[in-house]
Amino acid sequence: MIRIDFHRLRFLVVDDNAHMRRIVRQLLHGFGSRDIHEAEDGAAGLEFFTAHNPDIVITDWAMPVFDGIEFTRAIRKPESATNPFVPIIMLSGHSEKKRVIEARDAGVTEFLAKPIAAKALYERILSVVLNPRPFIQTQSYFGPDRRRAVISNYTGPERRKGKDGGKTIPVQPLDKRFVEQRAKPHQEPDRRDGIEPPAQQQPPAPARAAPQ
Amino acid sequence: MSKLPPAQPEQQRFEDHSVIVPPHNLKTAVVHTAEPGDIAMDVVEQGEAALDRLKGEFGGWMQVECDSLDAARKSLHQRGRSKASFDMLFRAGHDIKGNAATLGFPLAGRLAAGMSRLVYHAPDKTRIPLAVIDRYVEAIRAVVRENRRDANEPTGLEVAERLAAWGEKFLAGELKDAYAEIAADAAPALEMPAKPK
Repeated sequence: MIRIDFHRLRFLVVDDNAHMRRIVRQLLHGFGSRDIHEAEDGAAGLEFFTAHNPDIVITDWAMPVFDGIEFTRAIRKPESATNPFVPIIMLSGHSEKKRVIEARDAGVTEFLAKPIAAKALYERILSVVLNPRPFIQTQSYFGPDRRRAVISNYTGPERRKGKDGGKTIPVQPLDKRFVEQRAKPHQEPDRRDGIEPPAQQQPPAPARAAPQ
Repeated sequence: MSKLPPAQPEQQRFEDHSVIVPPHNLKTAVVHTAEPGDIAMDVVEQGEAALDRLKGEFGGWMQVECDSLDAARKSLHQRGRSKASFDMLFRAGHDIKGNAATLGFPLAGRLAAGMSRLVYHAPDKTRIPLAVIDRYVEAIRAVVRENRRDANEPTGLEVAERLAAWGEKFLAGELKDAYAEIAADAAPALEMPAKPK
């Protein structure tokens, strides 16, 4: 089993509703986290984010003045001096498919529809900690790879042009251990000391290219 | 963890996009154990237990949410059907939609979802009859006032269903062809329990 040492993670919770902030804080506290910060709108959240660089951001969507989508877009600036790759979990009362797609296209890492449940929140955190997705930068998008899986029988348009002239470009997640472990449980040795696994378990990293 | 020096991401450029592999900074928070299972259910249970310790406050919180909703409704009556008033009403309803089930009032959440949907999707919000808004607000307040925590409480369910059905008919008439885009997101109609004769 893979566990998360929540003591090592700094959370930022952005929600205009004080009750929901308290609920999320209480859940994170129950998970073991002690470094939890709150902001009541996107503007205050961005201020904290810039100053304190949290490890994981949990944000609401509907907030006055500066909502969760605007907040996400403000973070997902490739040229940003603060971490533009930070995992963003959107926790929202909006559950319509169109809204989920809009959040995804703004650069949200995970979407969690309210009402909130401890297991669902834990699973989203587990996912962003263990299985970070590569980022894609195009003229109109900067955010986590929106393709969570390669669909072999996909028949839609190929929007990315790669060196193979528009064929699907396989993108290897940095860390596949979570997926592998779900397929083959009980294979991991005891490593409570938090030392990272041997190098052979890591998928090959893509060749480094000149940074933009 | 956040004090670690920033590592450089790896990047592959293609014709019209780049694939960037950010440094996996959070891996130092990962602990491997020999325990069986995928999910550390004890951690989830600790989260649930922590939330349970707040439950004594939930009734009061729900009352505060209802007061915000009522204030928004009053603003609509007193200040007119302005965008600001409808925004206030939508936010209050949307908060209840998201929070009510966690706070133990799922029926209030269902009612608030119906009202929020109506307010959000109506192309001309001034055409929404205030009597319908009043019914929604009163129904939500009644559920909380009478401490109806059962999601299947028959009277509350029937009110929610009737209001939702009215709302869908109204939206279909207002949106015309565009209604098809939102029709699938409507809350599924429930089979109403038979009324005792």
